[in-house]
Amino acid sequence: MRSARSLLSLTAFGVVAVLGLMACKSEPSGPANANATRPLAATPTPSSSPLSSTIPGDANFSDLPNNPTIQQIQHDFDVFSWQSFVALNWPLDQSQTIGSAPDGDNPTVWGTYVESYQVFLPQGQTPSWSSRTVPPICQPDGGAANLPVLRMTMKVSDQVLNFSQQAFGTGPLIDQRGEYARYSINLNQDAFNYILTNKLYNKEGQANFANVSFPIAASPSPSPTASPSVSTVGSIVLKSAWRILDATRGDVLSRYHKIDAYVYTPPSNNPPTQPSCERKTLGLVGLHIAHKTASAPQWVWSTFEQVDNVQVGQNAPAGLKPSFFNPDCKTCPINKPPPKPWNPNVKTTPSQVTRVIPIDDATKQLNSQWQGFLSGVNQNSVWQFYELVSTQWPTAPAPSPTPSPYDPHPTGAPAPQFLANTTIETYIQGKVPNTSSSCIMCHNNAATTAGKFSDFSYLLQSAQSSKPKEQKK
Amino acid sequence: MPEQKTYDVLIVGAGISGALMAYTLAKAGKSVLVLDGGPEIPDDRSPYMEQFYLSMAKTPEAPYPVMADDPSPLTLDINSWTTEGSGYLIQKGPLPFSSTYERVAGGTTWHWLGTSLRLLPSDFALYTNYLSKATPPMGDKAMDWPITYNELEPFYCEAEQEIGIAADTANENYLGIAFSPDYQYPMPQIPQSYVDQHITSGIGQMEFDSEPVTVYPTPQARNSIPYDDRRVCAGNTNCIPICPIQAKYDATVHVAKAQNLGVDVWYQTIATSVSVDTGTGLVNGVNYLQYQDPSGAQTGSGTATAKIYILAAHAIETAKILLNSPLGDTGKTVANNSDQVGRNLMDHPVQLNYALAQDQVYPYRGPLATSGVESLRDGPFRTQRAAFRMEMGNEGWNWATGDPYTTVNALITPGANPISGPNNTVNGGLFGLQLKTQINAILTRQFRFGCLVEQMPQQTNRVTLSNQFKDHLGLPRPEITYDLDDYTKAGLAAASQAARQIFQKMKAVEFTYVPPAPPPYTTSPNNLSVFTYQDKQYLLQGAGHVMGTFRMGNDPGTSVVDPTLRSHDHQNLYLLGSGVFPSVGTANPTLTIAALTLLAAEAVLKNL
Amino acid sequence: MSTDPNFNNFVGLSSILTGYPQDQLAPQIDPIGLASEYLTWMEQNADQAAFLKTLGTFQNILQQVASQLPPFDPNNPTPQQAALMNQLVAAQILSDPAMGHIARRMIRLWYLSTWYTTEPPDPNGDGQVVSMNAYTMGLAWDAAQAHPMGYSELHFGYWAVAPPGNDVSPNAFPDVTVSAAPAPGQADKPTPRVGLQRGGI
Repeated sequence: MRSARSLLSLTAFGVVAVLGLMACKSEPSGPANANATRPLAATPTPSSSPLSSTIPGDANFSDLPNNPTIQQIQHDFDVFSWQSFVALNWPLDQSQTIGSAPDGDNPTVWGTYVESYQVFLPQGQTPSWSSRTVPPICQPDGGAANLPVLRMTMKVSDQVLNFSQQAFGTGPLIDQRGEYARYSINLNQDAFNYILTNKLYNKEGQANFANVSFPIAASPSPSPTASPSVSTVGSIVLKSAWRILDATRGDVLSRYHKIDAYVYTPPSNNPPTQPSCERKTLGLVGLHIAHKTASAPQWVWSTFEQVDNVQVGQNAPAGLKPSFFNPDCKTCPINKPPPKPWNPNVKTTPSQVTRVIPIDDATKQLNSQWQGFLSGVNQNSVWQFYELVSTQWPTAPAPSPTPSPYDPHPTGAPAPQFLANTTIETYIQGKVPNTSSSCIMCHNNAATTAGKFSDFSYLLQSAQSSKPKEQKK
Repeated sequence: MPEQKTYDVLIVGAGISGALMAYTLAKAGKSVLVLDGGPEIPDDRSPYMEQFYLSMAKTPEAPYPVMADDPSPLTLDINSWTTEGSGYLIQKGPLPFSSTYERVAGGTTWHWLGTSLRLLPSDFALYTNYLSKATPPMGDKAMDWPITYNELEPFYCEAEQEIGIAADTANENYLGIAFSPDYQYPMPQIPQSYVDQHITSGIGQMEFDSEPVTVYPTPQARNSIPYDDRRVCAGNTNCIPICPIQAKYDATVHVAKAQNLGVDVWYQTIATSVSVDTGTGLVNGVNYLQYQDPSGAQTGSGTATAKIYILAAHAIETAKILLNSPLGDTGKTVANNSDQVGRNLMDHPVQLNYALAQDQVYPYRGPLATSGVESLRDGPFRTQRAAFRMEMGNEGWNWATGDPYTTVNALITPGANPISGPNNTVNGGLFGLQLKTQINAILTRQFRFGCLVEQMPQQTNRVTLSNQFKDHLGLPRPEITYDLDDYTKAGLAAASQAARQIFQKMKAVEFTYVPPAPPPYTTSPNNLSVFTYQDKQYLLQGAGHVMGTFRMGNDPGTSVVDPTLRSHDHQNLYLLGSGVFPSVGTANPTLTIAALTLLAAEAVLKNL
Repeated sequence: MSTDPNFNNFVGLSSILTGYPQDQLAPQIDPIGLASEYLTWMEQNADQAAFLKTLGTFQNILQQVASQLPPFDPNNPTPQQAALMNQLVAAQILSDPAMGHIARRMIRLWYLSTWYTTEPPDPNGDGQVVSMNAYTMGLAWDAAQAHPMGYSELHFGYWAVAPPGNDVSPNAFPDVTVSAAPAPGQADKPTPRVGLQRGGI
């Protein structure tokens, strides 16, 4: 059971006023009064719009009353999610405001963060923050070396699919034209530096390392003048989902944050897959932001979707169809992966996706509010077409890394209990404990290549060995 | 269902042997069709877990769909086994066959424990090494395997890599098992549990029946590092009936890999019989029925053809298919010139002994079993009684008594006696901290041995087809005649003795309870399966191992398949699984099933 | 917090009956809401007259304690007050046929996540698991310093060391002396197999 940190108060029944029996016990301010206290961040009061390029180091609980409800705390985390979404998607030129360019789009701060496959290199080589190697097959013409290379073709239910050449998992997401959705994982500087400094980028470095513990922010909020490349916000890992956009086939590009990128399919034996690479315009359809904070040793897990994924957003252009749902197909099986083999080079059956757990009303209201702020900057802003699904956070934060003797509840009683992004956990949405999608519950199983708990990060298990390959028997 | 397509190989059954065979053949570029009677593998295991959570009796079958059209035995059938027809298996006795299996794609590996032991070198020649030297001699040469441990050993290594076994060779070389110096299991050994450590130190230096009593960590098909895109074990202590996070290997891994290589799988397709061209003796088709609703009517039928046919439906269902396949009008059935199909049905009968340790040992944690006493699996005593291995359980008295439910309910109920025994002074009717304290005092000290005993093959232990009882699709249900011989019973008695002696050395207090039964056997008022040996009663449990029903051998007169698992009678028919075991040793069968599958795959590929 | 007026008394009584603190059974910030779920279950499945009488009697007991040992904060009783609460619950609720029945059903819900067809359960253990969350939060496993089979939040290798202690551990060997297995014919009632075994190796 969860640690004793909040007391139930027996409200008065009957007339026992003299003794004040069963009066509500007064609580110190803040939602917690044990173990990990949530800091009351001294963030400057926003003026009319809360849009800011400052990535918050933690949620701001200063608006909470004594004895806050779970909904009130949830709200603060949801605001934190929006603040993070905005700041991470801020333009590289910090003097610009997000979405203010004429086309409403902009390259993003987090787009400059190192991608996970650049950290866990073949032969366990030492990574660097700024290295960008593009597979030769992508550059027959010596093409742009600085474009992102999206090489991941599925989010596996059990774990992140890294550069394992084996395709296994609950399945890929397929758009209405039969194309595979693509994924990318990016790490901020705090997370990257931790891996670099502790040599966790190869198996040998991980072999004897115990107590992986990614850093949190050095201070609750970074200096507003800090350069974006010097992170003091704590460890952030993002996972993004993208689909190929084609204006000639009815896609409305102005509703998406777009990148020009290489879509790379690595070679594989299972299924047999030839390597391929094509340069494409891709639209962001899903974004996970995982952020380790002082109030959340189990990390805070925010997830956003483009509004047209499973049903079209409000006020959408007439005739627009969802990206991953065909309203005209009454017999398409719902939330079912395509038949195998799963070869990203071959178009296949589109996924017919629905959202199993609806976005709740409070979140929808908050989304409207922030979408209003974003469109207020520029009515063409692409960023108004994104919505927060929810934020998962530990209600009973447990100390992490696990001390000895171990904490019997290292997941810290997450709220909400289940959370899924329809583009990233498509086939494991539901409410079955331990198997249906829950960020913290699943990431709690994350381990290093040596089998040790890896602080909720599946990144470390894709490390390769720096030793020369032995001849296979 | 796919249209007409010619396949190189047709496989019946998508369990571990069918899936591993399909994958191996597809890697070699062959076209393969697999028929499986169960429904499509769910996209994630949530529906199975949900059914598990909400089941009152968390038996090995609890998570899996119950299907009238694709029925399988249920553990709870044992409670009414003397009422013929009450369960899927028609039990003629004298003892019930109490092991079960799954008929869903992925097979019984959905609910197996994951224990991946090899058979010992001596296990391959039980008759020559031991039974022939008994006084008087027992058994016959047909009980020996037609291959040696050394011949199977390279396939054991390959199977261990393919499945993903966690072990350290340095701790697994005993009783003739040896590894080449550069061989490594694919994953490091699973840590032994606190219970294991306590038992090991309690045993200290000890002998039983002139053999040392030594605990070994168990090689397990369970991830100790991230492997094959699966997570590490989180100690859900639920291997049987289902691992929530697939840290434990199950054959859906190889079904998926096979499908990614183009293998076709037809679900809800029940193979009913095999057709043979009586002129050539070659199999020319497998007949099947199909259904849509798992308890609905038949919706389709047909005959699937290929160049080579492989039955991999496990020991009872494969035997049933063959016995249901007349061989022209010879009066015989397919592949059964030896009359051995269905005979020599064997389990590993299990002796469960349970006790309370003096100190707290903290069960209900970790995988269900991480170690065992393996040193008693071989020795000169095998001329007189069956060998056994002693699995050390990490789940307290869960299997033995249904705890924590049984003890906790009894602690709550006034007047109940939570621990059966004439002198116990723990009474029910507790609440609050007193209740919590007693729960803790009892549960944290529970541990058990589950001893798997080698059952000697007997011609009269067999599967036949019921004349009377059919399943929902009109197919005959398996009729089982089953008993234990004295050699096996003596092994069970010895196992019980060994457990008792260990308990005594540990100063643990034994609580093994056996319901009374009138001699010679059968049932207490609760219909549990009790047998008597030398005036003592023992409760019979099954290990979930179903073996022996189409044994391998060199002699077509006394065996069904040859050393490559090919039918002696039909050159394009292979039979996979533990049904081919001529004797069963004391190793859990799955690793051997996988190794034999890889051995047979080489033969199949040569014949294509 | 629940808006059900029975909630506080239900949780307070549950705490006494289970030996677990209120803030574990019903944390103030509660993403699962198990206490509400069990209360609703009792309101829909138990004898209502007996259930309400039980809660009312508990309320009464609080007042008795308050008058005997003032000042009394039911959220924070002194050891003396706690002992008196236990004593009165035993005497006035658990010993009463109808209310004792209710109380024991509550204990089985919290510890075993199960609503049995009869109270006490029959030897076959007929009943139903209340819900998936109820199963994963059953107290019996926690009391044993373990976790429900099928639901572990722990990390690889945890089973090699002893778990952290709880408020009732370490403790003495249970009060039993058993010298031998029961002789045949002696056990007229076989060990009840409530909740049945899993079988198989």
